[in-house]
Amino acid sequence: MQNVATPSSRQPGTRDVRVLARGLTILSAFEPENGWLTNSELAALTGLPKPTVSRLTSNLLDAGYLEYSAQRAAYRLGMPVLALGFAAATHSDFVVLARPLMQQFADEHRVSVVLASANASSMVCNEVTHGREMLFTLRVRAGSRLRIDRSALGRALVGAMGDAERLAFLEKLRLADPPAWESLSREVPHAVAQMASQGYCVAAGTLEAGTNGVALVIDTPEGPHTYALGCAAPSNALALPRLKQEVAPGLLALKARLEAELSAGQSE
Amino acid sequence: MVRTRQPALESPQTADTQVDSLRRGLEILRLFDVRHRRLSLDDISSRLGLTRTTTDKLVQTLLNHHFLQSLGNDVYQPHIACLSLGRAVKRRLPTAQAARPLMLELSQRYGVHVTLTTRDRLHMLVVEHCVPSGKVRLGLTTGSRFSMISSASGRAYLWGQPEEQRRMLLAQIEDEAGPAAQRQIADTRTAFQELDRNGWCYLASPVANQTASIATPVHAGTAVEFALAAMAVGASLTEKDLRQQVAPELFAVAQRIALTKDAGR
Repeated sequence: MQNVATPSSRQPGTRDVRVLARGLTILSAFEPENGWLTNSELAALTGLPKPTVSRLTSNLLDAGYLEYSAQRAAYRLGMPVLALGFAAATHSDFVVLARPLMQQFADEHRVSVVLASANASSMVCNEVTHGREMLFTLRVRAGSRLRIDRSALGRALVGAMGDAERLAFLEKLRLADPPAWESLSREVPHAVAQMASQGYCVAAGTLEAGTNGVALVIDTPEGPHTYALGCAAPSNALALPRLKQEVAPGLLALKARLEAELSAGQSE
Repeated sequence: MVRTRQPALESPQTADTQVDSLRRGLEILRLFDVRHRRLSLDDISSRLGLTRTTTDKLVQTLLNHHFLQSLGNDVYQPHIACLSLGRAVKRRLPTAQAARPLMLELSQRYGVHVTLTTRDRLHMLVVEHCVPSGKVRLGLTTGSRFSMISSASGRAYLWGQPEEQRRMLLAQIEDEAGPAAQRQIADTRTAFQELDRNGWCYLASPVANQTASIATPVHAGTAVEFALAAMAVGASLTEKDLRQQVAPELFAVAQRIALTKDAGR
């Protein structure tokens, strides 16, 4: 019971909100086996007065975090406790995993590689790597925001969404950025078709004149299409035939590798 | 589960304030999930509508009791203690223990995600999830939540509830989502008809383009506490495959879990 605060093992923090502190102490008393505990047993385990324990268990029962057995006159943790940060505590950082593989890809294909996620009206770059032999690179770095309607990243993301999610996403975009919504809405059928038929979207000269890009989505333990992954380069260095024949298949392979590593690393 | 009422020990106003502090503190922990593994103090206060001072006091208490840990600059993430608390829940959950090998076998045989869920307010809470080899979890992991009304699992769970409970939950969903929920509620009623006919329901594109789910309730006597779902990702399984091959197997697995659950009571 690593978190159980007893009078002898831990004094309440000076800034503690007392009722919360005591509620947490009650919950922690059920570790590690989550056996049935009566109010008297909880009082003995936590060092709290029994009337206080009775009040707290009643409140925690009402909130669903405890279950009560009339037969045993005892409590145990309820399943909603799983929603108290459990899922968030289990996973590692995807960006850290992706960074070296993105750099390797950027060097190999002489492109800029961008890992991005969506906010209301733009794609936010989580990580950017540039090929080390590139003379000219995109003016994009981690934290940059790209137009969602013009980038291959945004189109890939929207093309990968389920119908209900896409409708909700476009509705938010309509409120946040009407011109981007209008522009992206026109692209949606093509983006959906590209994602369905080839698994990636191509944008030729739409993000910036003279720049070609290709993007797809990455499914992670956090959810489907959590990120969009794309690469781009000046169109004279990344002409559409090379983009489609060489770079896009490479990007699909990078996606497969990243997802395989995530799959191997996921555990509970 | 039997609920008890305890005598009030303080004046109602004091007791209410204290209950609020407990509830708010636990609501802070609920904000953290697989999509929000780190949150700032400002994120927390704005999402819960609390003042920064109140939020800070609650967060300090969660830090002192090792439920949160600080990453510096007023940014926080769940402490490993959240993991041990969650594991304690799973350790004494006979349904999940009985279900896991059956779910795993189904998942590997058909290459589908298999998920056991229960209700958490108006969401479905993942109790157990099996991922086919070489695939990623897609946000479906123990402790994660998704919408009840727009998921096959949620619709199967709702269908399994007594009429009065079902009506109450649908009314709450409508209250919360407003007119936007009308379409989903209509689709849910159509799913109920499919559940009446087959014992399971089908849903296209639940989480992404080219995904499809089927779900069935898990009975325990007359009650339904869980739903079991199988989700295909990509073009490897057609709707026909899901309906004709996977659905009967899923239904059989749900019945086996129910039997184990009854035996364990």
